[in-house]
Amino acid sequence: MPLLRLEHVTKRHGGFTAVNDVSLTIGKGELFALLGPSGCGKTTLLRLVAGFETPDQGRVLIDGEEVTEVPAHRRPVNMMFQSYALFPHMSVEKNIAFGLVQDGLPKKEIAARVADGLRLVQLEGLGARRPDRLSGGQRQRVALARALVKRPKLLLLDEPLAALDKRLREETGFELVHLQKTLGTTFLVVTHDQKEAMAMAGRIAVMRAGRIEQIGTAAEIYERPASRHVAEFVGEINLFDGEVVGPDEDRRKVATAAGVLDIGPRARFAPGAAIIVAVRPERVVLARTASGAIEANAFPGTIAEKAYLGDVTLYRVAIAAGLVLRAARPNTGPGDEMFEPGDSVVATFAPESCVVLRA
Amino acid sequence: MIARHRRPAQAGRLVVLGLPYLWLLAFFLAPFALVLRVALSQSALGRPPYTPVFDTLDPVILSQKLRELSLDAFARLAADSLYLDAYLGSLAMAAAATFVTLVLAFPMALAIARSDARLRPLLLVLVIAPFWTSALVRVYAFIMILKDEGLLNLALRGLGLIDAPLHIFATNTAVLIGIVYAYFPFMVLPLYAALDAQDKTLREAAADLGAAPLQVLARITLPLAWPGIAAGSLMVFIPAVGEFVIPDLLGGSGTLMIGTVLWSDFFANRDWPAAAAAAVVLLALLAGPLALYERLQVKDGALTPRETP
Repeated sequence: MPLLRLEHVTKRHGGFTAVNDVSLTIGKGELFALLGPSGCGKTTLLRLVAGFETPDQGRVLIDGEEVTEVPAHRRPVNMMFQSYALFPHMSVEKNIAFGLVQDGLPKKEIAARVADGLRLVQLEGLGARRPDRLSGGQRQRVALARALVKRPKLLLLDEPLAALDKRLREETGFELVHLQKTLGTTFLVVTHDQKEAMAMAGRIAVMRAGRIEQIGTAAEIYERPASRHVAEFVGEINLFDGEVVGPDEDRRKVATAAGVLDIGPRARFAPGAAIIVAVRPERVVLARTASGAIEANAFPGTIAEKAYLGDVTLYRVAIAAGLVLRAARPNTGPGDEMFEPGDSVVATFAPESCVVLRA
Repeated sequence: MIARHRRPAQAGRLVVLGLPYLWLLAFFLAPFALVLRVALSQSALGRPPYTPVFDTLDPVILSQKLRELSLDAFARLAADSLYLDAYLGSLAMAAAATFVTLVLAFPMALAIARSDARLRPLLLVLVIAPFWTSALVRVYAFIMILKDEGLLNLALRGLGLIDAPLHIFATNTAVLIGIVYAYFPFMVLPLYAALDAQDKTLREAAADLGAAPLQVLARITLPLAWPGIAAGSLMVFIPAVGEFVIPDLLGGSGTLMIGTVLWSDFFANRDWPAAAAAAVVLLALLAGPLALYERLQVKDGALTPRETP
């Protein structure tokens, strides 16, 4: 049984279509992420689910009930705002209790739930503080507790980690995932950070210009992007525009500006089709000289730039025709072979490492 | 090096901080000293109609004169119940006017703050527009509106709502209406400023947590508008206590306010010391709420909405 169902939802702001015919189903207990650049409509979509906006077309269903026209204060949904939106004139406790007081729960129950909420986000003892006396990380936790004590069917998180500093971001991300698993609440996260989405979410919807381009697990989106935009937005990638030049037995070859590429057996791309070949930098192998047998997809070139990042070293290799190929090599120990700018290398990648996209 | 760099900066700070003090000294403290001087004098027949106490700076004469200091005027103030009634009347009228103004101005300020951003400057100009004509003319206009055969009664009779005219003119009600009208913008503007500064996401968060629009108003919008409510109320209350023109023109025999008493003491009775003493006491009375406001503002540090990073 799906918890959230969007059916052909469209929302226009003036002449601008923020959300364009989006349909989406999220199951109970999922941690789902909407990923995309700013202006792609992900926040508008979240606001449509929260009830701050109503769609121009389409329906919103939560737990089987249509809520398209239901105002925010009557939806079984709570939101953690990007700015946290803590009430500055109330203590931490009062902030967390706000929704419970609103529901008219008995005082004892409210006190117990607020205490539970504080414990859940490890803020015991800070209940009497004002929000402006808290650190950014603590504020984030108060916002989380405030939304969770209402025991919503669906928790919406708008850029939950964006306002935290980098160190805290990763830790908090893991905590959110742990919390979501423990509570079993369905989480819908909006983020522009692909790493955040991949680290946290079970499924990700990549959005662009008001539409969903692809829905899948982190690995599916990374390894088999459905479009050029998804490939470029999620991680680094090398893209070659080209044309399928013909069957060589059952293998396919593609004519590109960098030369002819071998993409292996891919019968569904007919000769003459305009396609994009995409290769992740970590699939590009660098060597000082071509190894024995000349393999397919080998590009002699020169190291143009090198960036040592600790876990990996990134290279930009200048190959023929003024093109640049990005390569990433994991660092495993002090014995690793390093290339320096100016070194001559041969960059190769296997046909099966290529992702083929329709142009 | 550092010291040499600091000196001009410190001089600049002195100028910046000193100018407001100089301003207050020249245009507030000095006139107040003059009024106080009159208040501490004996009234007399003549020109000026009081015996000056401090008319010299000679220390010997001055110290001798200090012993002649007269609290006569203050004693008369205390003895005559007219003054006490006038103070109480003024405070009650000002409090009522402040309350009515607040109740009327809040919805308007809210409506302006929530209106289309392009429309807001125009609406604010319309609020201030009455200031473009003389206050006196506008108060006179209210005589035309409120008197027995005035516009209001004509309209109400024309609509068949009343048979006999409502006697509003020359009553305290007319004074209340006049004060509310005259000071309305002073309430709207600070309220608007406070409401406009509120973060919209706080209201959304409240709605998200289950608060219906009226509850959002009561639990979020209103408490966060507190600095504007306090500022607007003081900006209406304080001048309303000392108001003279409106009670004089719109009030009747039942209207007793300290401004009119002060005026008649000064010009009709030519009792300058009594009038000056009444003014000094009025100032002392108003210093109380002002000090309270200052304290609240300091405490407000935690109350005013602050942007989260």
